[in-house]
Amino acid sequence: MSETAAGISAPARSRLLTPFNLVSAVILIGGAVILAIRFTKGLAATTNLSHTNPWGLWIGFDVMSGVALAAGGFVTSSAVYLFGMKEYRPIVRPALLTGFLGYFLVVLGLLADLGRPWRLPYPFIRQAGPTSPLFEVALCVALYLTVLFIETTPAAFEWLGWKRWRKLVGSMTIGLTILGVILPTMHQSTLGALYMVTPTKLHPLWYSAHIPVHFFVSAVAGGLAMVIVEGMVSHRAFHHQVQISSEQFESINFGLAKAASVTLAMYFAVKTVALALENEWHLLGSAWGLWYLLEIVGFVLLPCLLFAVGYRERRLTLVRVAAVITAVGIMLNRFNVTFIAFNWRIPAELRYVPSWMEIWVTVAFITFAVVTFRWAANRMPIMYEHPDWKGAH
Amino acid sequence: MTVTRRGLLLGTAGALAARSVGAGTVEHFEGYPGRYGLLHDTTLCVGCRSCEVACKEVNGLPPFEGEAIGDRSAFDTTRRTTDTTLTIVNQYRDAADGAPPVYRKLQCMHCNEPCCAAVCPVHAFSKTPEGPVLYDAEVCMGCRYCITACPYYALAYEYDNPLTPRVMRCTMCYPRIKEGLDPACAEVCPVGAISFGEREQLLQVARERIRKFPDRYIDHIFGEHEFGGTSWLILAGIPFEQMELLPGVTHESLPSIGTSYLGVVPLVITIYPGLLAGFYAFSKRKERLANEEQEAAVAAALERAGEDSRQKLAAAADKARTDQERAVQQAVQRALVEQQKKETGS
Amino acid sequence: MARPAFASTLLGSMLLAFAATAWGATPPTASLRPIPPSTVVMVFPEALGPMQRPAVEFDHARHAAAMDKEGCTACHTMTDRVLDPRLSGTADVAGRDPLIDAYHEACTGCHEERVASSLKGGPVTCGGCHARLGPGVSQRVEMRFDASLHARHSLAFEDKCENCHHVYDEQLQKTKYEKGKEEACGPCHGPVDVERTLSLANASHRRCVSCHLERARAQLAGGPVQCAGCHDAEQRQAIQRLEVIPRLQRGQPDTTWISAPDATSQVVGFDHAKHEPLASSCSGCHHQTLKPCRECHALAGTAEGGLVTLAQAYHMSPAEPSCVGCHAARSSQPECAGCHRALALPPGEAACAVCHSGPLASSLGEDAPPPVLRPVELAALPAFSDGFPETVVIDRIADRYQASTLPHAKIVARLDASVRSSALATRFHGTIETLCSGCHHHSPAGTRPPACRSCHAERAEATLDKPGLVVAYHRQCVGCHLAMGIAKQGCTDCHAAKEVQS
Repeated sequence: MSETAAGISAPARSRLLTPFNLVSAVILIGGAVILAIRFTKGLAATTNLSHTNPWGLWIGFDVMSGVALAAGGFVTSSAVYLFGMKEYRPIVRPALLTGFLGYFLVVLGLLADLGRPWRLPYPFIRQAGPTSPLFEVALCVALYLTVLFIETTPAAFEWLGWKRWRKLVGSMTIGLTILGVILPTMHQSTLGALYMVTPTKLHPLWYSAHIPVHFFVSAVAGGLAMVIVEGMVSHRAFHHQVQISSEQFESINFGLAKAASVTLAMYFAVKTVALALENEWHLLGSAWGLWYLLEIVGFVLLPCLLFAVGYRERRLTLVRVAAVITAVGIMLNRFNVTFIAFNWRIPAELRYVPSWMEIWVTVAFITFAVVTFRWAANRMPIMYEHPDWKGAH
Repeated sequence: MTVTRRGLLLGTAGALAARSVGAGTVEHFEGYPGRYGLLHDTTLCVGCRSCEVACKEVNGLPPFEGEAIGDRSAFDTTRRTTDTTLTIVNQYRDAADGAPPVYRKLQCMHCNEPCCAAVCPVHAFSKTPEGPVLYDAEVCMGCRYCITACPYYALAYEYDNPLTPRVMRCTMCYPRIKEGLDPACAEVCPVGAISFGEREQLLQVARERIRKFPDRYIDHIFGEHEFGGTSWLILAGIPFEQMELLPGVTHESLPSIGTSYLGVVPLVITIYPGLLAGFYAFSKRKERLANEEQEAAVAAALERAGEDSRQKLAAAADKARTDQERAVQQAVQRALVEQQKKETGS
Repeated sequence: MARPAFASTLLGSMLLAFAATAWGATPPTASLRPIPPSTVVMVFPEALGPMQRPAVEFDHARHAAAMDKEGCTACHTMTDRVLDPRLSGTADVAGRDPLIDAYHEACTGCHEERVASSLKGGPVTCGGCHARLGPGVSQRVEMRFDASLHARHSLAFEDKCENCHHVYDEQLQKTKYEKGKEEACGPCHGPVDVERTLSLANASHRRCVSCHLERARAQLAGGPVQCAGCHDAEQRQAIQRLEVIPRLQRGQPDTTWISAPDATSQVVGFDHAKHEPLASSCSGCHHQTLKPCRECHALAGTAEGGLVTLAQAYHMSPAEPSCVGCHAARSSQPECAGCHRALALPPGEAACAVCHSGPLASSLGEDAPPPVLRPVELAALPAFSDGFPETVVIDRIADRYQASTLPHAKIVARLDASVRSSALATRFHGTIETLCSGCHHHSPAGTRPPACRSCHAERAEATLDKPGLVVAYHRQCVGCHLAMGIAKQGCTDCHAAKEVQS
């Protein structure tokens, strides 16, 4: 991706056939074809979902992991606007845009996965099921997507030159940010709480009365990690637009690393408490226990230490590696809860493995998000400050 | 409705203790009186699968293709209910040492407090006073959370249907029950392994059977209390764990375990705005104080700078004056000397 | 940055973890290894406690065959022509470690000697004897003396009971013979040695095997000397049985009244002579001692009677030593089980009167004469008529299958024949009508009992646990066929299928 960044700086029309564009086009067209099959032949033709495993990759990645990894938006915006940490201002807009696209990806994933996606608004307009955690998730995600959308409009309005609109949304920043913390707090935790109703189906090492807390804390860590990863990629791709110095950028990353290290340590502690609470130590000796330890030690404890060392020694590479490991670890945790450690009692032949079409569609959604990010960043003041609005937000 | 009442009554207390339901409520709903249930005596089931066929007929589902009745190879694998077969019979033990083989019929258990109803975001399920749990395909959006939640793997989905897929499950033949008939499986079973009647009375019948034949039955009625109890009561002669049932689970219902957490949502909505606004206010206050400090420092520095320059100006003015005076004096001196020279020289 | 290396490490570790999960998820399969009857699994939990190494499985038959020339005294001590079944040198060794050393000396010592003299010997290493063989199940069956075997021994000893039977004189501290006090071995000789009382295994091996060895050495016909001869199931079955077993004479009555002190109801007249051949041996009913039941079991439970009251002792089903228990066991045999199986007939109270038909306990004096018990005469079956049909056409509900023709006469005749052939059945049935109640249940026995459809509606009455008509037919008919081992058990065996109109 880095080598094609040069192709983006020139006017888009003359350099349309870059390798990146070609590959993305193939992926996106393929995804569209698969979705067409899904809506003409049914989910059976395009997924490996079964009556035993109703939730697969599209829920496990697109919804669960997507929401967790898009948490960087509220983390950074609350840091800058609510806790006054102004030095992180340069990364707020990219993080919010990533967040918005991430949540949009969630909705896309839902539209593909739901049996009747046109009925997605039914809980709000037709009949509500307010006892359902999923109702709460739907409501929160819908509201939060709106909030994120509004939070990304300042850049668009600056680009379009609509000063009055820009002033209007600018005045809503604090309110939106507060909402933007309340809503994710709820739905990040509730995504975990979805599984509180399955104590016999989710393996006891992952099941806990505190699952909502586990999901929320890991989402914060995942969000921070994604901000670092996204920054790593877009800083290089849009290097020509970036106005801050590399020292400033590095120090932002180290600050994020410090926060991520603390969050991961907290997550590790909370998970240990869960083990102790249910006295599940003996389960660590089983095969599932090994798998669990891999997730906790390799993808939580290890990046926690890497973040701390990277921060102290001022080694950006370590921080970036830790961020990648953390992001993968969050995905692994969500996959575990959704279809690996879920249904752990069923025989091997009934277990779920994603089909290539599910994987392709997921990759297509991610590609769509990346392409949209690139389109926006190439036009709107995401990676830099608009001269008319310097220091205004 | 049981579920909604619980969900809304839980509130504060339920939020603080992640699981407990009793903490905030003092009432206990025993269930609709006179509701129906079914007693499945697995010691009587001979695995003829007439119930599967009758269920398909009554529900208008396509008949069996590969696994015809009488084809014992259907018992080679552990089957699950599907979108076209709402109930199935599995074999859980071969005939051995003179003991007959053991079978069990699987279908929706029509729980007293169904978790499918509690977790559906469009409230597509409802627990009827007669006992069956009903599903409304008119509002279902196909999220399949119900299938994920069901601990008995009783629900199936029409994955082959692209535009109008439904969740498929046993309905306890609700229309037939309303007409006063028995569910199709209970009516057709040739050995009476399924009895239909009022749940409370069936419990008595089950207890009486256990009392009369203690060597035949495990002394436990599955479904009496598990996860709050189910409408299907099961008697067994072999341990329930060997029939894919978990008799040791909590008596607390799954909705109270799984949805009581939602009580925390109103707390977040009410506390967070103030808390976060407070953080914002504190950070703004810090900023303001920092700004004021900075301004004061700048002003002081400016003042000192001003003082400094004034002094310098005064000193320069003095010097200039002194210089000027000296210059004037020197000029006068020179003029005087010139005058003197003129007076003496001419 | 090291992205490719990182990615591959990640992938590798995930694959590894998946493999671990799959391996951990497969259940272990265990099949038990059979241990032959002549192999002794040397486990001594009381003497040795928990052990580090697996128990030694000692193949006695192999050793006996290998040491045939040296004879039994190579390993066992012989005192007064009685062979001590314990390995010599290990008897009466106190303490765990000395006992282990004794065994090691005896076994490994002998093995080492033989190897040294270039003979085939056993293992000399620890693991050779203490081998890890996995879980096994012993095929040894307990030896039991039955009436036939006892009679053969009596004949061989010409009824000189003192050859085997003795009592223990507490004062003289030794065993002696007392006529009329012969008992089974079990009541005194328990499972383990208790001080000077030998365990049953110890005592019986000394008494029996020594005698058999002597006779074998004297070339006389005798019992087995190999373990398998008594303890192998097949060889046990092959032991010759007497065609006619002479009655064991120990002064027992032919008939007797069964009553108890303080009992108030009608006493039971008991035909002891007729019951003797029905039990496997005297110990079948007199399970501890040959004394009458009431001597240990009082009306209220006593410690001596194991807290079993007298009423329980006589009536406790399914225990074999009890009257009712044994009768219940008889009625659950295939010939009777069709009617007497679990779900069909609970025991009725009319059955009590069959036994309790004697005079009142109060009017029975101490020296009353023994009862005279006459056999019951069952009336002949009546002729078949409209009221007593030969066949019955069952076509009440005929939707999936054709009507079925019930061979009523054939069924009744067969059941009647098996009742008449059993004295127990005849006495308890008493009248012909009782037979009808086997199928025509929950109704008064009479000459014209109700048909199934009279009481069973098409629909079940679940609250009464009363099945509907179809279920009633199937449970009654097929249930009986299953219990009696009759071949007609499939659907079309009784009613042909119908072409289903779709």
